[in-house]
Amino acid sequence: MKKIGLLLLPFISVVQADLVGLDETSMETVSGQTGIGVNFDKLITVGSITYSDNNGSSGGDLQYSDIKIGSSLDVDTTPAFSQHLINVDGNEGLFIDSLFESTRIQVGGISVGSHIGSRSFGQYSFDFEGTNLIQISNASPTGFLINTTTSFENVGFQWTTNGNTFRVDGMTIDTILSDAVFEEKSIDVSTTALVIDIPSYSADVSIASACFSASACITENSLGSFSRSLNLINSQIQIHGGGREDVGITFNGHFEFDESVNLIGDGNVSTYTDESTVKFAKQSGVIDIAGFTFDIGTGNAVLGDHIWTQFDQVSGNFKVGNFEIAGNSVGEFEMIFDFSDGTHDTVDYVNRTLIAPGIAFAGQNLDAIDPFMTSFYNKVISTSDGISLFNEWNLQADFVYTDDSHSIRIDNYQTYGSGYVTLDLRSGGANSIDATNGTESFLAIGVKDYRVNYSFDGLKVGDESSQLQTGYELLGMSPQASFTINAAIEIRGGGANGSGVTFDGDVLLNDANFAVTRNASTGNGIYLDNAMYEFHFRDVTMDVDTQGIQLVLGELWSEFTINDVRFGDSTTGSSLGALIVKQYQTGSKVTISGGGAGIAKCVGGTGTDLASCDGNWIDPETQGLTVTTQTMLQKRNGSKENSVTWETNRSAGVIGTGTALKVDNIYTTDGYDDTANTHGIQTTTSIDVAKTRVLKKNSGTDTNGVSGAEGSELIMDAGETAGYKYVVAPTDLEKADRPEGLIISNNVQIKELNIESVNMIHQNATAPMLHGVKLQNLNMSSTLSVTPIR
Amino acid sequence: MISLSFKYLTLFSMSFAIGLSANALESLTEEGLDSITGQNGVSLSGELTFNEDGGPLTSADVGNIDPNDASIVWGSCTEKQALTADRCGARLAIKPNDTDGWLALDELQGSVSFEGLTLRARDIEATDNFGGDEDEAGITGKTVLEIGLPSEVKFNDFSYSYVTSTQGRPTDTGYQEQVRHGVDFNGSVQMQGNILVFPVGNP
Repeated sequence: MKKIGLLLLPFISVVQADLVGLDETSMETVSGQTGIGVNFDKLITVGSITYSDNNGSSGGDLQYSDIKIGSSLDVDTTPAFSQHLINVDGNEGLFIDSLFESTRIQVGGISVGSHIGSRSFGQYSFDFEGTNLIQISNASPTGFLINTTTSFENVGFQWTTNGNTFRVDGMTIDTILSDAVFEEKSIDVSTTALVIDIPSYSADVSIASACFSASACITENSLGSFSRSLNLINSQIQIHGGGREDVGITFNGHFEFDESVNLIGDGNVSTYTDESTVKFAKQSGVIDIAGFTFDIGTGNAVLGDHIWTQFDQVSGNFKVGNFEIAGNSVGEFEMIFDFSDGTHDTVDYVNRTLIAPGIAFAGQNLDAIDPFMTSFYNKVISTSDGISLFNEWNLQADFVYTDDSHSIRIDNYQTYGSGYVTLDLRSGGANSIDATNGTESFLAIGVKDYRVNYSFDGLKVGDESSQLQTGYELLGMSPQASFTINAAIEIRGGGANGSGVTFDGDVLLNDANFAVTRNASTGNGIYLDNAMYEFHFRDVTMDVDTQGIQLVLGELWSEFTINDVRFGDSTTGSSLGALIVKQYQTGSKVTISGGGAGIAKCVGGTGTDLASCDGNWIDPETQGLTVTTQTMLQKRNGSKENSVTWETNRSAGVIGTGTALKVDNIYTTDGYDDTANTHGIQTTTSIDVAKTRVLKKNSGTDTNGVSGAEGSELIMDAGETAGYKYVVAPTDLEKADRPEGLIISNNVQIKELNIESVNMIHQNATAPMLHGVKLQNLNMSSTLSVTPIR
Repeated sequence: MISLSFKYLTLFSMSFAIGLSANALESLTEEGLDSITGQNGVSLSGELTFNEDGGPLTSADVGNIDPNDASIVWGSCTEKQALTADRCGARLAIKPNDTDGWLALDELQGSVSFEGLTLRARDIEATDNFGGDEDEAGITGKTVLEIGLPSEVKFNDFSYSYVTSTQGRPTDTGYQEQVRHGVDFNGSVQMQGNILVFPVGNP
């Protein structure tokens, strides 16, 4: 460590300490017979604590101001009591057994560099009570051997900006650090670091509720409850001096999940509970962090002085062995990832986050982006507290979803980009993007010029060696996209029913290009080029109940303008013309639940099992994902409408100069008049991975060099070079080795879908082609199996 | 009941334009398959079923009354069989002009299954052969959406009626309809060939 200054500015403290006799009852784990006890009554006020990595040419200050330590009951006047029983044993080292009664640590402000004194990250307080036992002895051959056991309850956290508070209530924290070795040693030829080897660490954290309120959370404003159980083994942390730029701090880390705890119960698990629970259970994996640096940066054109974090690489894999929604299993998810530096289109991307106090865009006129951005940032001023972030990333990853032991992989996912995000707390309808909102506090998230780029090669069903295919189109996924996001989003506590989350937002994606489908090897495909997607949502609620994750979509309206639908290259391919899609919905709903279609069936034939089915026997088993939607399309209301416009023959490609075909004013009703609209378009879509029949389309040799007769069936066979063969009349045993495919089961029900008119439009002159369309009483079910072209 | 079974519905040398898009139908050959690298596209097999036992409009709905004879219009197919409801299929109606009535595909029911429908983005090479039409279509060097027709399409009690009617809804006051013809498919159609979709003209 070169120069890290820790400046304790003048402070006032009231500390009362008493030496007391050793309480053997509370020192049950201490084997020694000697020791002392210390009682503390703490009422501490610190003017500020400053961390500085300023060496004269770079770096700056990070200041914590107005720090108070006292009782949670009244941090200003009531001391916090703690008792510490200290013992030294000749064989087992130093023991400190501590009991903390209700204690609050409060920080009046955290700020950086030139922002100090004008704006801060806000005010923070941390309440806790409980016990901590630490044992320190000599490690062999060098270093300190440390064991700790910590148990805190009634833990609370509050973050306040501009008088509005986010709080976490009723938290418990239990951690055990076993046989950790702290020692200073060389990690390479030029660097000495504090190295912490962690053979075993466990942490159980639960949060009873979280909300946006100065008062204790209640059900109606709670975001829900959370819990986390984490067990690590064979992990290591390295800390040494020197940051990304001169003075600073550098961390390296290796973290390995203890998979043995997954053998029984949920093991390593994270849960979110509302009326019911979403569970990410049986987590496993290994994560390596290399070159994570912490510096104080200065002079950023947008953020000014800031905290600067960056890492050279974070890589590894993370698996959720059982993702469960309301007691129903979706399956396994795994991510194999590598965040490291990369170059795209001659631009270098690193993984860094710059964090500055205040709202960087407060009061700015951002009409050039969209007036909603100006309105959002006009509700704060340049001295408002908050958090401003600049984030830049570069990631390569594979994602694997496994359903009843059948896997599908999103292959070679790459993403990079950068942009700004601001976070602050506000309250009241006047400060909201929706003036009809009440007086409650909320989290305001601003997103500015967030440029996102991603692509993936395709899907692989089976394992990594499986043949690449598309099929993502059927899931509504784009295999390649780039766009810039600007957004104003508000998050409130409380859902449609009790606790939950409520969202309002205005979002603009522009300068966008989306692939509909693409050839991963040539890059040619069908693209939505020079697109703009503006969408708005109000009173969208999210709850989890016994049916699953429930989204009630309040009011939604959007406009998706695609300047060119291109065939070929993403930006220069032949254009089909422009496409404009407008949507307007109120009261729509989405339910996401665990479990797939669940019912085995003989598709395209008859039969009750694999042997008797003369069609395609598909057994989706139990796991999978089911999404149920109810889309309520509303009649035109001002500029809000449901319509689709296709325009061609434009002058210089400008929308509005050509000839358009417009499907106008699309809306749902209940089938008997133009008024009642309670049913909408109801869909149930299940996604599974299961075995499916694949028939050879033509006699001869396929693309992988495997020959077979037309109509013969593809049977997997590890003994074959390509891993499969074609069989004219497979036996039941061979049918059991059919290939895996993505199975999409869907049902659509429509009482009545109306189109007011279909019009030809040329230079603002409209000529109706159709004067009405009605689709009534549709109940369509489909089962699709999706496999690669061979 | 009509039963269809075409051994080969080989479609080639035909292109047609709708607006500014074009679709070409191409015979599928082993040479053509050689260009399929397996790095792209998807093969679909499946089944579509329409109104197997009726739709979401039910006999218990308020307003579900035939204005002419006060019978129940919409119901389940079981109710239709029992003659306690007039219809159970889906209906798609269009109104082609402002003053006259509606054209409709009515009582749509049944199922369709298929195997081997393929979709992919395909780059047309100079060596690709479309029976001589490739130059006329001007697609050499272009990227097209290739829809590979399924090798077999099966129809199982797939039926509909083509009707003209005075009103959009069968429950509308004054509703009168005239059935022009009805179709009931059972059997299979075997296909071979591709449909190519690509843009032409001024976008």
